[in-house]
Amino acid sequence: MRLIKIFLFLPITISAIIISLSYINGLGCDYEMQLPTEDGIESIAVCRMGRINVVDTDLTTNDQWVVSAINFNMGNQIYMIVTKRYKSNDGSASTVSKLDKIHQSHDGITIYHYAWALVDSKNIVLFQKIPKDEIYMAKMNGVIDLWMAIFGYKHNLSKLLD
Amino acid sequence: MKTITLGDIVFNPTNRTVICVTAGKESYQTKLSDAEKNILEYLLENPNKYITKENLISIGWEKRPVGSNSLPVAIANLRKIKSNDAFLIENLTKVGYILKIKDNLELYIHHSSDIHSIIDDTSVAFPSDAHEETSISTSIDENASSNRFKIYRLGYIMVASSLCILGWGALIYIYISWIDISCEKANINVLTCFTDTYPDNVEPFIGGGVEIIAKSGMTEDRLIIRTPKK
Repeated sequence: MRLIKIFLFLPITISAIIISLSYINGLGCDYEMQLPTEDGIESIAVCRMGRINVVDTDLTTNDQWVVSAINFNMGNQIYMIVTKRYKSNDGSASTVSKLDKIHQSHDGITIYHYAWALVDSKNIVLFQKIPKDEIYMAKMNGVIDLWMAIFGYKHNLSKLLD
Repeated sequence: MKTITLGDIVFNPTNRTVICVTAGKESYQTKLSDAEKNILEYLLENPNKYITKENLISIGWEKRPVGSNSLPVAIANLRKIKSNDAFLIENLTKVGYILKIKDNLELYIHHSSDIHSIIDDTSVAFPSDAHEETSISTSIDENASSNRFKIYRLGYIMVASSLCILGWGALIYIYISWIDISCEKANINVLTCFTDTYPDNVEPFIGGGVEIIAKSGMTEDRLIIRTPKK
């Protein structure tokens, strides 16, 4: 009976602990991140106190979309739970922006999953798995999570100097 | 579930209640504490025998630490139960307690299967005297509480299995979706970061600064940092 109870309740307990710790860890985020401009779309992500806002701007049509999410950090994994996705600026009325297509096709997707590796104090490589495989090499200023704020992370560039 | 019937009283250990029906068909219900219930149940099952105080304490409180006054208080409460003198608890100094049953009364112990048969046969099996009516109504109550228990148990099983699926699902999802990144020096001034497959065409970089090559599945990206931090 005891084994059955452990089988039933241990996973949910461990999951609850992991999710709580990753939320607390994510609360320590304090950074601005500039993603490289691709296809005329500029992306800036700002994370403060566990809330992340990603602002995508189409530089040709001036359309702008904002994605707000809650940040969960576990080791070098980032899970973003999207709470709001809206168009903050309607640029050119005559042209349909590429951004509209991207965000409308992502409508309903509530989880974004990334893993990150620090190159140096300013550069970071982001590996996106959900919603699709993508790599972003971004410029970052600040700390990603509470762990980094307290203990710091070793930059991978130092491996080149060893 | 068990019910003990003695004269005009019905003792239900599960609900910890003693119901006494008087000659005027008025019923009195007494609620017992857990320890009192354990002691009364044991005394009723062993009538006319002296039971030591130590034995009663271990039966009543099941090895939990108790004060020296607890047993006398519990016995005093049991003596207060309205029972139409169906039983009497006496004390023999330095020996223990004894429960004596009134001479002409018989003790019945019903288990759940008996209770169901009692309900089925109510119309024919019992004459309508107060004692049996009480027994039947208690049996019906027990049947209802048994059904409630089954519903609660079903709810518990459903909640437990949902939580189990959710818990295992979350753990398996975290394990499967974990992105494992390896970053290593690949060549002169070249740093590679990859998830599963190693990047192709890793040439030494001699243009000043360092080259970062990242690969995940079929996706590959390169970045040149001109002013590396030393």
